[in-house]
Amino acid sequence: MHEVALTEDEDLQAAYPVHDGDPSRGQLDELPRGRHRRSDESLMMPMPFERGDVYLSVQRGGPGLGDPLARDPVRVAEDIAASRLSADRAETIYGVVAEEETGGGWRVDAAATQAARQSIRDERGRRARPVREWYADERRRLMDGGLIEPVAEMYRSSLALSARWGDEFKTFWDLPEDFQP
Amino acid sequence: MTAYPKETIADLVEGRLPWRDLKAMMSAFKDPDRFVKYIQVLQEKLGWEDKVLLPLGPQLYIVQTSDSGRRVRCGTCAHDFGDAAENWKWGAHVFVRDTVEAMQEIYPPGMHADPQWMELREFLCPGCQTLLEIDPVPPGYPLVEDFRPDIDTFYRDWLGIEPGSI
Repeated sequence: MHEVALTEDEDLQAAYPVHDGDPSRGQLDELPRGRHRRSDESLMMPMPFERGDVYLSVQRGGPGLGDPLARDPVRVAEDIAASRLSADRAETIYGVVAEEETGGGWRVDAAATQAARQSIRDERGRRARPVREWYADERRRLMDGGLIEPVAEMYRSSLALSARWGDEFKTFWDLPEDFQP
Repeated sequence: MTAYPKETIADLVEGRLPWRDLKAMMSAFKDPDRFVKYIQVLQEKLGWEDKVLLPLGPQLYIVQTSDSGRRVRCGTCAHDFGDAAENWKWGAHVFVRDTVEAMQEIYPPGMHADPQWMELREFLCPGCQTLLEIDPVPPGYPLVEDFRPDIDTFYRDWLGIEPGSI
């Protein structure tokens, strides 16, 4: 982030804004000053920074294990209370509806949680389809050249590098021997 | 030699073990009869007549049936995913997150992969919609097969018992 101009005395003495709080609206994102440039690449090449510029590298969370709907709602409420999870995401991902109590704890609304989880299951059932149907469409996309160039190039180099991998790839998708993505 | 009562293994499976006890188990020598007790706990929990041979995930099991060989089965609703020698995902349903909108249902903006570079394939049980596995792969990648266990070798050569004898 350039030209944030964290140069005033009070800026330099205060804690720098980082990405704490709601990750969809981190402190730095909310800063009205400066020329914000957000990079989704995980690689940064050298670039000049001036006095008052800010560079922030944000780490994302690790993966979980198992179905979020199988997690004990009480444990999810503990995660909200400990600021590991926002109440919004608890509802949309874990299907847990909880309310804040005086004193900072969160109480699970059992009936609303049951309804939210059922509604997530219904939505999954509505959107998902048999893997064999997906396979037919995905194969067609591959045959029609529907990949972006970097991904197509990755497959081309993998095919060139390993005959074994190439055989597995072509057998899986039932592709002609001379196929090139 | 280390050994724990079956109740302790059941607490371990259910995540009920206090951290202090869990840490002691992790630091001790592995109890040689752990797998046998573990399978017994799973068998009782699932309540199936068919023998559980191996778990494939938190809610997915390989079972020995009397009439149709080894099958992959949902631990929640007992849906049959097919022969255990095949990738169970062929018997699943899938929802592919391959748009920015679908990514942002689960990630804050700017904190998810570019779906043209990497999509999320969510595999669900057709019977109960339990989320069984997620494959983060580039578009066009074949179905990932997590592992294909050699059950006979595992039981006979590693455990020294016949498959299905627990």
